[in-house]
Amino acid sequence: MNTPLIITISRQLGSGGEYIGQQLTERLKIQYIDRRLISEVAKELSVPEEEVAAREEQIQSLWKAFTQSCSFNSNRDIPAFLKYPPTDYQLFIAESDIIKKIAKEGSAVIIGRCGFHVLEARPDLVRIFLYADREIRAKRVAADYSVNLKEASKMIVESDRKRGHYIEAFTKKIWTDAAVYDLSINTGKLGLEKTIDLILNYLKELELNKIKKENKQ
Amino acid sequence: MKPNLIITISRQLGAGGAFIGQQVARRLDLHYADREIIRKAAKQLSVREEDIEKRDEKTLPFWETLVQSAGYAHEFYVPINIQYAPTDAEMYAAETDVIRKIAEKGSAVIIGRCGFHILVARPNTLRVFLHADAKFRAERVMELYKMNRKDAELAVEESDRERAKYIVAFTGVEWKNTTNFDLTIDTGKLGLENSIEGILSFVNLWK
Repeated sequence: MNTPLIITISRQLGSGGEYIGQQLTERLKIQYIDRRLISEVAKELSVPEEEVAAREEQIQSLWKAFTQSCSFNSNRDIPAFLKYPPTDYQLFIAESDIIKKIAKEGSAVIIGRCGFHVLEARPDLVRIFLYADREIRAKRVAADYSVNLKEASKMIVESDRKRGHYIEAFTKKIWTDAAVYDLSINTGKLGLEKTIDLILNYLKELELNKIKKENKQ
Repeated sequence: MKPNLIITISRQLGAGGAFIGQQVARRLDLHYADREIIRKAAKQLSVREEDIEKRDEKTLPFWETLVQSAGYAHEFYVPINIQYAPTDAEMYAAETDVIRKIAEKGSAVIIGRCGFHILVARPNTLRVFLHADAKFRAERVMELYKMNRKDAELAVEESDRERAKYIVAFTGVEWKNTTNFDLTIDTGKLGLENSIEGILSFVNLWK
């Protein structure tokens, strides 16, 4: 690939999105952004990394967010404990800035964090959504997190709800709306390895279409 | 290729669904079912195809639905051409029946009419959704139906509204929700020809 390529992967818990993202970066020889993003955000906001990870993609209770925004807006003496952790909105803004910065540097695969929305103005962006049936996801989550199927199913329901709310709150887009992605794949039907192949084939076709369009002009 | 493969193609107006579906059917040597569905449904309901054609994947306006339900019929003036029109539910039932029969016979590409939902539990069924941004679609509609830009934009908007309403009414799911499908493609971004390759790639990888 000569031109920079930014791939955002939005994914349901247990659909294999992270594995697929990592494999894609290896096959395409481009950088993978995930943990690094969190740590950079954490630095910017100077809060411990574990705390950001725990709060990731979760909307704080309305009450807490309210108290914090009040305390940040007024420049008076505020008790130190009220200043941290940052509000979800502050975190979202910081993450968006980091994503934009990374995307400027060159090709990358960016997992989650509303990348599909933050970078939507980039013409070379490829927005992918990965999902699967609940039973298949539950099995994978049970294996990955060493929990039983019942707990895994609960985690999935909870994760879908939280991610859906988070994305709708900050992007005003519906997480599972096909129209906000360029490609979406049910990974349960093909399996993870074949899904990677399908994405690579898609990228080839995209490149061919681009060449065709350029030749027309 | 999976034996008895059915590919259902749901599509936004102007996203190239019929063209792509035909090409996929030709390349894989599958039966192609589009207008055949309405034709057979019309036959089942003993109505003329033209009478239900304009209602394809749309719901009837509220007052017409009222007129149709027996309890209210006598209170309204009923125009002749509506009197014999089947209800939305009758049409949906007939189309469902036609789609199931096509799927029983074997491999096919089925365009629209909630095929993705009707065949959700059927093994070896690939559910595809094709979409594109409004500008791309309006431009295709202008070309295909020789319309001016404004009319094409309106047609796209109205079709989106009607199909969404129709699909949620009969399937209970949101039309554009990715999780209804196995593969969704923005055909404006990928181009129609390359979208055909994308679908074929899924079929070839799916063993």
